Amino acid sequence: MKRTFALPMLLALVGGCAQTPYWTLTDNDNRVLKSTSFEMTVPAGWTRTTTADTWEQVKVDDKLQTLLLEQVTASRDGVSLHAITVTRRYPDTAFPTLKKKASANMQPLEVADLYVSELRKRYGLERLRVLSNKPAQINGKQGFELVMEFKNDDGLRLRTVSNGFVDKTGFYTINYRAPVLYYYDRDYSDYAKLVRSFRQSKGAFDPPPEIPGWAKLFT
Amino acid sequence: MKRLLGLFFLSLLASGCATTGDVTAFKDANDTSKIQEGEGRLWHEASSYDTTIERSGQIYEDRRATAYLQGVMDRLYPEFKGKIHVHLYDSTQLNAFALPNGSIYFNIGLLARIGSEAQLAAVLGHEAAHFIEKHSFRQRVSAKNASAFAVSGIPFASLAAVSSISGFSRDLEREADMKGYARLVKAGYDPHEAHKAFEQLAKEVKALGIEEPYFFSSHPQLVERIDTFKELAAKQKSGGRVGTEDYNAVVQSIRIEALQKDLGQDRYKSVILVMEDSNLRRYYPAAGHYYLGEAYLRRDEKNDSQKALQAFQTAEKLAPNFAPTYKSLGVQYMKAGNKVRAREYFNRYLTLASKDAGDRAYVQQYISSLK
Amino acid sequence: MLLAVVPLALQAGGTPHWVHYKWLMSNPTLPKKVVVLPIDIKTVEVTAGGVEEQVPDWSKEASQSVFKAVSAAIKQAGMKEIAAPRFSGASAANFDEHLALYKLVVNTAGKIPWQHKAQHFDYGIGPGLRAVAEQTDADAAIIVYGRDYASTAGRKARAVAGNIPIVNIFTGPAPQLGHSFIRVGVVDLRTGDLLWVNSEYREGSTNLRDPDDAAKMVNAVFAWYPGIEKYRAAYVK
Repeated sequence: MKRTFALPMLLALVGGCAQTPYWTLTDNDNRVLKSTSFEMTVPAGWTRTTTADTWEQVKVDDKLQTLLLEQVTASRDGVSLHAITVTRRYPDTAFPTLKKKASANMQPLEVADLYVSELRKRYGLERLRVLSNKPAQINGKQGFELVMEFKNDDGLRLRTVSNGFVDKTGFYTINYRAPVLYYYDRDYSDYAKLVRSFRQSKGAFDPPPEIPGWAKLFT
Repeated sequence: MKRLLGLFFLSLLASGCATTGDVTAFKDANDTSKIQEGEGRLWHEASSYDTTIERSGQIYEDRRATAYLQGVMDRLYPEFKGKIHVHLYDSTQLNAFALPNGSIYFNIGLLARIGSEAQLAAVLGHEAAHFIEKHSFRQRVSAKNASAFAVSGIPFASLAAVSSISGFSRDLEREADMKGYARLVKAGYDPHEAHKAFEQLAKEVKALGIEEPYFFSSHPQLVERIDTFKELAAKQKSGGRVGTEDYNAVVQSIRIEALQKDLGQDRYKSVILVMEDSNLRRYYPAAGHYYLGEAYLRRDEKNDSQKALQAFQTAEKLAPNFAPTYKSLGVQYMKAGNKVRAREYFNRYLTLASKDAGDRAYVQQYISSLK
Repeated sequence: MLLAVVPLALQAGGTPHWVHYKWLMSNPTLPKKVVVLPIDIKTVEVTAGGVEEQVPDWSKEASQSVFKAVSAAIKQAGMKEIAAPRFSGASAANFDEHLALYKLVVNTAGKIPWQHKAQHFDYGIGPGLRAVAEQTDADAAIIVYGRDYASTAGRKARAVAGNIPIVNIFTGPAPQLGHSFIRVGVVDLRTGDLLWVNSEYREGSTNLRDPDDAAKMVNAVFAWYPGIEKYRAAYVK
């Protein structure tokens, strides 16, 4: 009895263990990253997430909240050093620490200002400076391009360029963060190509997914 | 036998413990070079913290204002000239803090809120007292003693915990209040100004429902301090230096920048509180009405759009050369469908704004869309 | 097809050091003249209750001991030590920022999550310190930083007592005692390439102020220099 029971169990376990790896190195066969709401071409030689993260935890009024989002990440050398993140936040939770929603009739300048406030508040980064803020087109939609910078405790300048837009499906950002020394300029053109290749998918207009049952404890 | 062993080990734990009774205050600048080894370690950490603050760009660069604050400090504590260094800290939080090595950091947010040189002296006097009375070292000694015998052994004597960044014990805060007040009077400042610095803080903490302590005091503690200063001042004659005009001349531009930074960090409630209070508003340049308008838009409650429009119109009248007002008015009219007025305001913005103004490209885009 | 990126931590047969891919080519040019940049060893005393205090005098002593050990190790490795230059003003700010970048790069590289980065280790800090090479004629810089945690007598007593039943009810469980860590990097001054990195971590009574202890740790680090064939065998198949 035990032996006949064990074999099907083992097969079931092995079958269920074939998991998709979290990271993949981009080569000519897998340069197009397709997620539910968007797709883009990732530069060769970068490593990227294979599937999108679908939730994040954010402290709002000192309480941890689990919020839905869709986020993919790419990096050449390691995310603690530099990273491109592409994020879709849903309209109702576009600016969670500000408790503001995104709506399709928002002007790009207004969205950019809210985004900077959100970053300062979320990360406690009072010293985050805006170096430039100008209109931009992303996937044919009117948006913004923000360039921001701050120094870490060791005095290293860290710069983030953010291209973003809002439509009825939510708030989208394509960010590149890197040290100003050497890394930012080295990889900026890869980032710019990725932004130009960004396309919203039909999936963006589907209803948002459900929050996992366990996460509802924190919602 | 096991009890004896336990006692033996407890005595070893206790062997390194100093007492706070061994700690005496600095008498003057020369005294600061005669510090114990434990104090030296704190000073070293404090100096590292100074370096971190400077390197990470958290110092607010304004030579005139910094020199002014240093001048007030030197007036309060002339015998410590050259040993207590005042810096402006680039944060709009209502705070000031002292490090164990005599570095005093004064947030521009607090600077923007208080109304006179005498009020400034009350805060500086308090902070310097923390340094002179060696409150950091006393607090660290206490922490070490307490944690040596705590079975859970959770340390909490990091530099932040033993400097006035996070606040000292109530007794040490009271001591700093008393010593600082005495200096204020000795230096010839009007003692009836001391409580006013804390009154504004208490008002803001209460109105905004702020739970974390501002200037290391919860609201009840701030009220207690205000009452204490009032009682002390009641025993003194009125008179003495207030220095309102000199103070306002120095901090005028910092006030407007603090409003801008408050808005940039979503502290729109603080902006509304300040600009709706006629007693405080008088200290701010007329362009403050623009930030009030933006704060109403950020708050977005009933009638806030109308209030915002009124605030922008006031800014237009009182500060006609302040460019951002015209951009905001243009956006309001654009959203209301009034293309003609919107274009007028946007063009006015472009005329007034500098060539590298950040929002120029957006405004040009708005004008194109209105054709 | 998704190319799985296997975390290095899951792989067996790795090495503690990293070698730049340029050194894996035939006839690599190893540095002959090097500057040893100011060594940064911070010594921290930890009390029975876990309160940590940096001890500046001990830190200076430890840095000096490690410096002497590094100088000896460099000579042993066939390199010539050049005196490090002094910086001021804008060049000091530039130097400091490059050191800050080095710290971030080496901490990222030290936790390399991806096999292909180990096979083709190409980390660097850019050519911003080229002026140091021009000024000193050095090929590379040796950058060393570390931490040395020393326990007070009370903490040591607590550790002993923490292992004695019944007694440890009064004193609590045994806390972690002293530990020491150093990381050594070799950086090409002209290109900024991180040519070689290794680190050593020891628990117990190692005391970096002691010249012998410092030498033991530094020698353990340099035992892997340059270690090109070992690296190739471990990562480049």
